[in-house]
Amino acid sequence: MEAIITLSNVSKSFQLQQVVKNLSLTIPKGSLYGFLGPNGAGKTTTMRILVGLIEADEGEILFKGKNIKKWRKSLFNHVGCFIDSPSYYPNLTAYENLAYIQKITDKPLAEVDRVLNVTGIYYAKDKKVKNFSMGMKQRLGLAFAMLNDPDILILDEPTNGLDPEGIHEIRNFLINLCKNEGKTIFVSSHNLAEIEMMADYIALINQGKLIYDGKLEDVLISEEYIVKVKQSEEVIQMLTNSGLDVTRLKDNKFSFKADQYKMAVINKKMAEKNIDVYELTPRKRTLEEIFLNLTKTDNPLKKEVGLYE
Amino acid sequence: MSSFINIGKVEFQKIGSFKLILLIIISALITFGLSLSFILYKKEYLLSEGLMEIQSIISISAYFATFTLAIFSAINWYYLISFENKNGTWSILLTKPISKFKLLMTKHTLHLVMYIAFNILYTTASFILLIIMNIEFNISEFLKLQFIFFLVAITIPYSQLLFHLMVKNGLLAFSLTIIILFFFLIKDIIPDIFAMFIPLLNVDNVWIDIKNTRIITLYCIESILYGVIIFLISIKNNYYTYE
Ligand SMILES: Nc1ncnc2c1ncn2[C@@H]1O[C@H](COP(=O)(O)OP(=O)(O)OP(=O)(O)O)[C@@H](O)[C@H]1O
Ligand SMILES: [Mg+2]
Repeated sequence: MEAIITLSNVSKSFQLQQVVKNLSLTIPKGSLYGFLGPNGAGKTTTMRILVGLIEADEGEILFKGKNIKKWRKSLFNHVGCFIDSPSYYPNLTAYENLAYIQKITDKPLAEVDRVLNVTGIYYAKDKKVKNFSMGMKQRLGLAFAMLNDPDILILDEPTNGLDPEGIHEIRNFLINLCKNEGKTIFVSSHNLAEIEMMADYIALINQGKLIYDGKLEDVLISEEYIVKVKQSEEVIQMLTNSGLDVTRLKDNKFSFKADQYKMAVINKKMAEKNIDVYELTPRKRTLEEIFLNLTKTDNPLKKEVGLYE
Repeated sequence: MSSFINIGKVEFQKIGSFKLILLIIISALITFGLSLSFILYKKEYLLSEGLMEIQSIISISAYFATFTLAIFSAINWYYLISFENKNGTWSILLTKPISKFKLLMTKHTLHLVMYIAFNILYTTASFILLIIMNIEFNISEFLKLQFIFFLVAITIPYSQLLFHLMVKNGLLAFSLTIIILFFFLIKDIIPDIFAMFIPLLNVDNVWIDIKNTRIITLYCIESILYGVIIFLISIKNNYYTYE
């Protein structure tokens, strides 16, 4: 795993409030890295620090092993970012907005049409941006970041304000960029479900502190299953006998807590006994539950995946 | 260098070249109109006091020019600096491969170009004024006076720039820079000894000692230094703002 961005012990305070606390992250090259945390956790602040818009009080940030302060200008040939709500010149058209950036940075204008196309606002290229809808502005923000095909994208809640179709489209677009074009994408969200569908790695922060970072699959290990079978009494009996805590739900459904290894064993047993299984679903956990779970001191996962204190 | 001129051109287009050219022309016309009306209104007085001569007439038109220049520059800086604050576009500009220094140099150069354009039109207006009023004058002296104005009046836009740097709310900054005008109106109640040290008032002070070359030179140097210092502050300034 080759690290492309490293943050070491980054801290930032505003007045008396410490917003980012001793944060260290390693973002592997070519990964789609989800940056999760509830509102006010410090995601946007961390991203601003990452691209040098604000300075950290402490800590170091390296892009491809180099300190960003020292090669700020050329860094942005490789890094595209979209932080904060989208900004633009309202009196210019979408095309003019993007062309302005291309002209001042001495880059080809052909890029403008390309990014308008990939972000799906080409049809509105000659419309003044002040007349754009929220979703269109969001796409324009993404278009700014995509200019000149950077290999690292830093996106702060890029799907904010998009409709479900738009969210789906942007998500697939990001997955494609990462998987087929090898880009590294660092994307924030407060919505686990959204990140779950695309990220390889995640970092979870709360009140500026890192709670977890690592592979997404490790954190998603489901610990609760919902089962619907024909012979419910028989199965419930079997589960209780092996010491599991079963909760009855309606219509032959019940749920119980077990890890994935235990689940495999149970599944085999049910097959041996010729049980008709109608439904077997790991119960998806919400971000909140994962938080609670990860902050619990006796959490076994904490030892397993090396959680931070 | 070519890319530098290019950026200036692009910046000019972004703000709206037509709007800016119109602004320069209107500012010069208003200066001309105000000066002419004032001189016609006070004609008797000026004649009886022997003030119908080049230095008095130029100082009158310079007085009005300070006001139009203040409004003109306030609008300029608003578009060059505060407009970016208002739109939040610094976050884009500062995360693209262009140096902040180059970006600000372009903005200053553009401002300077507008300032020069204003001065050229204003000089033309003063010239016409002198011709209309039938005043005899030596062209080189006339140009010297206009050049002194050009150098000392630079303190007006650069004082205004300070507001745009300090106040992140674009419209508020703009309003504050207009308030600068009151400094000129209340200048008479500020004791001369203090007024002498307010660079902003140089453009007014300079006419008092217009015959003393040494003092004039000092005023000019001081004004330029003042401009340079604020220019340097503007390069160092942290522009990125957010809610
Ligand atoms: N300039 C500032 N001055 C004071 N406090 C600030 C400033 N910027 C951010 N904060 C505080 O820092 C904390 C983290 O804010 P941040 O915007 O980074 O959160 P976030 O994780 O992006 O939240 P969201 O999901 O709502 O976007 C908040 O409590 C916020 O009030
Ligand atoms: Mg945020």
